[in-house]
Amino acid sequence: MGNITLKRYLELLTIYAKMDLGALLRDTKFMLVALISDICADISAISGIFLLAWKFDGIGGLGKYEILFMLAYGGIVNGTISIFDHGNASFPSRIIGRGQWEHMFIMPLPYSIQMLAGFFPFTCSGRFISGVILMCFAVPHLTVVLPWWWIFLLIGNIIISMVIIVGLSYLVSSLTFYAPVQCEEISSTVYCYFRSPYRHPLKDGNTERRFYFGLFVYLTGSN
Amino acid sequence: MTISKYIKTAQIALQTQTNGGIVYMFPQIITKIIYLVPLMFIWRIITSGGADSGMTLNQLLSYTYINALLANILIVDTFINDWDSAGKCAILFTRPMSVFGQVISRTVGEWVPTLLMFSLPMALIAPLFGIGIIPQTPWVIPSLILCASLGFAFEFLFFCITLRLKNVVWLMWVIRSAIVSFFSGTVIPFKILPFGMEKWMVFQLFGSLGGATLSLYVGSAEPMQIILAQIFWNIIIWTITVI
Repeated sequence: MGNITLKRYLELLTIYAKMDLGALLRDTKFMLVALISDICADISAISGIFLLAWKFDGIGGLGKYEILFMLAYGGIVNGTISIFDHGNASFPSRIIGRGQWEHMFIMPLPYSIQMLAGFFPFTCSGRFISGVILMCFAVPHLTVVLPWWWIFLLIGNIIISMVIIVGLSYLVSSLTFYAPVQCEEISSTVYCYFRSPYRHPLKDGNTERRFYFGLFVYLTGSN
Repeated sequence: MTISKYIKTAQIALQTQTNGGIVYMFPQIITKIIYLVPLMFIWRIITSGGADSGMTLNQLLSYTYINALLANILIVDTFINDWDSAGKCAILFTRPMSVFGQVISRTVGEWVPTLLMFSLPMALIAPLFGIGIIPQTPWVIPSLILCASLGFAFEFLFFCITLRLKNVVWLMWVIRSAIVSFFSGTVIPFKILPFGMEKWMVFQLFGSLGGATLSLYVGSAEPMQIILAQIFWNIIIWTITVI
C-alpha cells in the first residue's frame, strides 16, 4: 500500500469537504434540517443536567458554569468525532460486520488513511457547533483565571479524549472478526456507554465514589 | 379465535428476542444499568448538599429506578421505525390482522424478556439498595396503561408523518427522541425543574407519558390531575392518529 505524504492527506480531506459541501448545496433544506436536528438533540440531551445545575447553583462541588463547560467539552469531543466519522470510521464493527472491510483491501490507500481521511465539516458539525457555542458562553463566567496557553491544553485534552473513545471502539470491534453478525453494533454500543456518563458531574467529596467512577470521568474527559 | 392471532404474534416476538440465547440481551441490560447509576449518584450528591429539591432522596431514587425498570413501557418504541427505514412496512398491510393490533401485540411480546430478565430481578434486589418500589397510590396501574396507550398513539402518529415526509425517517427519530426524553419527565422529574417549569410541564403533551406515571408512583403529584390529563391527551392523539 505504501505511505502517503501530509500534502496528499490534506488533499484527501479537501476532497471530502468539497463532497460534503456538494451534498449540502444539492439538498440544502434536508441537510439544514439534519444539522438543526443534531443541535436540538444535543441540547435536549444536556438540558436536564444543565437545568438542575441552574436550580441548585451547581452540583457536586462544580458551579453551574463549570457544569456548562463540562457539557460543552463533551459536545465538542463527540462533535469532532462525528465530523471525522465517514463511512463508520469510528464504528469499525459495522464495516467488518457488513463485509465492507474487504473492500478496503483493493483501494490504493493504507487502511489508516482510509479511516482518517473522512471529513464532513458542513453536514456533521451540529454537535460540534452546539458544543462550541456553549463553551463560549461558559468560559467567560468561570471563576478560575485561564492562562494564554490554556486553549492548547483544551485542544490537547479533546484530542486525547477522542483517541480514548475511538480506541476503545476499535478494541471491541476486533470481536466482530469472530462473530460478524452478533457484534456488528458492538462499537456503537460501547460508544453509547460513554455518552451518558459525560453529562453527569460525578465529582464530589466522597473518595470512594470518585475512585469507582474515576475511570468513566477520565475516559469521557468530563473532569 | 381473533385474539389468538395477536397472542401468537406476541409469542413469536418474545421468542425472537431470545433466539440466539439470553446472552444477547446482556448489552441492553448493561446499557440500562450504565444509564441508571450516574443519575442515582447525582440525586445523592444533590440531596447530601442540603438543597431543597422538592422531593426526598427516596422519591428521587425510586423515580429513576422505576424509570429504568419500566423504560420500555413508559416511553414506547416500536419496530415500525426500523421497518420504515428498511422499507418493510408494506408487510403490515398484507397480513389478515389490523395494523394497530399487530404492532401493539408484537411490541408487548418484545417487552416480556426484558421485564423478566432485567426488571423483575432489579425489582427484587431494590430493597437491598434502600430503594422503595411499592407505589404510593393504586392509580399507578391505570396511569401506566394510559401512558402506554399514549406512547403507541405517538408511535403511529410519527409513523404517518414520516410516511408523508418520505426520506426523513432517521431525522424524525432523532428529533422525536430529543423532545420526548426531556419533555416526558422520565429523566429529570418535573417537580425539581427550575423557573416554575413544573407548573406547566405536567399538562403539556409529552408530560402524560412516563413522567406522569412516575410522579404518581413516588407520590409527588395529584392522581386526578395526572389521570385526567392522560385521558385528555389520549383522546386527542388517538383521534388525530386514526384520522
